[in-house]
Amino acid sequence: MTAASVTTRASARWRWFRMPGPRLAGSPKVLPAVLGLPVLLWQAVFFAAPLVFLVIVTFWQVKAFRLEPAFVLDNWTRILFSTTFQRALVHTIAVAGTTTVLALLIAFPAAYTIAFRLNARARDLAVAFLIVPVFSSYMLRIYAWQIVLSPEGIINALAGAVGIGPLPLLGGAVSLQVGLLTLTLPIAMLILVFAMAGIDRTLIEAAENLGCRRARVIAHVILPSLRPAIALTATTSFLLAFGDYISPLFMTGSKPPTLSILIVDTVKSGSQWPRASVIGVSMLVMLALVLGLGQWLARGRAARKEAAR
Amino acid sequence: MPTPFIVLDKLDKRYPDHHAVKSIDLAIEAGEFIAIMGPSGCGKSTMLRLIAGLDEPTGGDIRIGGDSMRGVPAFQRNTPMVWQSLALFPFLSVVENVAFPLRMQKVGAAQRRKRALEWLDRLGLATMAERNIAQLSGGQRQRVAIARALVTEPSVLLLDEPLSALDAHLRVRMQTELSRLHRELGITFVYVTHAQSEAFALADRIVIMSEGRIQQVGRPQDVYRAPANAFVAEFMGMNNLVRGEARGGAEGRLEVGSALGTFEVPAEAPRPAGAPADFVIAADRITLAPEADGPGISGTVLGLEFVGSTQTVFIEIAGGAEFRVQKQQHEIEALDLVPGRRVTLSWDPRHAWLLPQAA
Repeated sequence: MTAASVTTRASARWRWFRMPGPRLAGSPKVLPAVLGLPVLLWQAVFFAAPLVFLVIVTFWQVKAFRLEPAFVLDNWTRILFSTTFQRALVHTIAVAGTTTVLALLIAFPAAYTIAFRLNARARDLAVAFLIVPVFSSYMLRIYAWQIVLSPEGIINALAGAVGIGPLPLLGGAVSLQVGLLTLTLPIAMLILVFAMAGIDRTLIEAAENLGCRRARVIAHVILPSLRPAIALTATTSFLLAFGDYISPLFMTGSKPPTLSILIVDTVKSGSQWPRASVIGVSMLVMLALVLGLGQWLARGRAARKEAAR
Repeated sequence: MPTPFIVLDKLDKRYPDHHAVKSIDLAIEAGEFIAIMGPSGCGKSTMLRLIAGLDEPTGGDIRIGGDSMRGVPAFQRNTPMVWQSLALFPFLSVVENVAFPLRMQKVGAAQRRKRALEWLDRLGLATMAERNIAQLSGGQRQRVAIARALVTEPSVLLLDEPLSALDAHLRVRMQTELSRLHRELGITFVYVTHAQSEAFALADRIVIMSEGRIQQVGRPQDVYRAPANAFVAEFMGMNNLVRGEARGGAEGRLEVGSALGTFEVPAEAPRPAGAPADFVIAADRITLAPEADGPGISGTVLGLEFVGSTQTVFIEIAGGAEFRVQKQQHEIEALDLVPGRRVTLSWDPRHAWLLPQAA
């Protein structure tokens, strides 16, 4: 009798711990895992699995336009040692690097003006104008630029009226940057505006109070405070430009090719999925490197010193 | 009398929606520790910002060391401030924070590091020099902010509620520290606070402000024992205000008639009968006795508040007025003061303070 009741109590306690009832599901230990599961599944199905498959495909072969599972390094050596790929890689890095520098140079003063010089209403309006293009079709904006820049376009029509031109505005490095900046600038501006709006204004006043003249506040307070945001802006701009397909295609006519153009060309010419995958994986490695570099830059000097200790 | 070091001359500051500082005159002596007190929104912080040049006055002038500050930008004033939020630069290490003002003065790297380290050492932070701000405790950050403000060896230090973010224990320790620094450096400290205990403990003189105007300037004991008006009396907290009117009186004394009865208070000058005559009696100067035991006014104990070595007794007087009386623990026990107990209040007439007549 006594022994039985002890067992019952013990098993009741045991059940309380193990029973997957609402009490357990709602507990602070389990809840995050339950809520996180869909994200985890989503990542596994739509990101990890394709990525693994992409890497696997790089070792496959194409025979008579048919993809066959295999394990050959041929695709890697052919792509990595081909001058076409190497030139495209250098070209793409140069293009994306240029976009990054231009985006930062143009976005910084604009964002500074919006965040520090405009009143609250004008600032909200400016931010709204920045957000709208992010949601409008990128294709549409590139077509608009074609109308503006083409030999029969608006600028050349105006230039022709005063006897200049037609100017070769479309199809060069400049038009490519115009296209890529159309993509990257609004995002770069938004990141910087929000970061600047978040800077503690007393830090600026403290700097002035401690002898820092207005003109030097940017260098001594605003830039160091913005370090993570600038790193984020740079990586975002670089990666958007690096992987972009639309601007290189429509603003330069694919010449010289960027890596994304090269992927499409490789697939088109002889269904070389494995070699296209090699380029794809290379681009992903580049992405990881840039993100890592961005993280490193985002951390202040003091924080890096701390981590090294 | 020493020459004043900081002079506020009809200083005025209007914001679009708010008249923060209303034509203030104030002379602060060199080497003085002056505390500016008042309820929030009284203009005390604005006044400090005007001295530092962080805001432009809309009228009047500020003179520091005899020079008008009109048109002198903040960065040229050398009026370093310790902020309530401390405003330390999170992207700089501790020693870099302290060296920042020297860097602005274009002092060489080795020299400014040396001087910054000296100040850190002086404030007991020598081992923290290479740390990040985020790794410091509240008290340590406070010291970094003070070191940063003093590293250029200014002749004035402005402090805007610097201790309000610290816990009580740390606050007392920092008070001692500030007091020591003021003594050692001999420079002018202008200290804005809403905490009476800090102002009383630290300041040579106290400025009481309300609604953009100075209500009283004086030594702590003056503003405490001899408030200039009803606002100061009530702001000091431990005063009981009795409103009444003059009924005549003899040499050096005034008879005041009020709803609580007729009282005699010391008066420097006679007042015509019927003129307003309000007086205050400090909470620690009231004698309590069992009811009807001698002269005085009767009341009922409402409740008690433990302060520390003493307790504050709240007493309701006929007519709904409330008196505060400060008593030692043993006195409270002797009289068995519990809520509902009837008592008689009395005081030595010499301890009543007649408020000056409003100009």
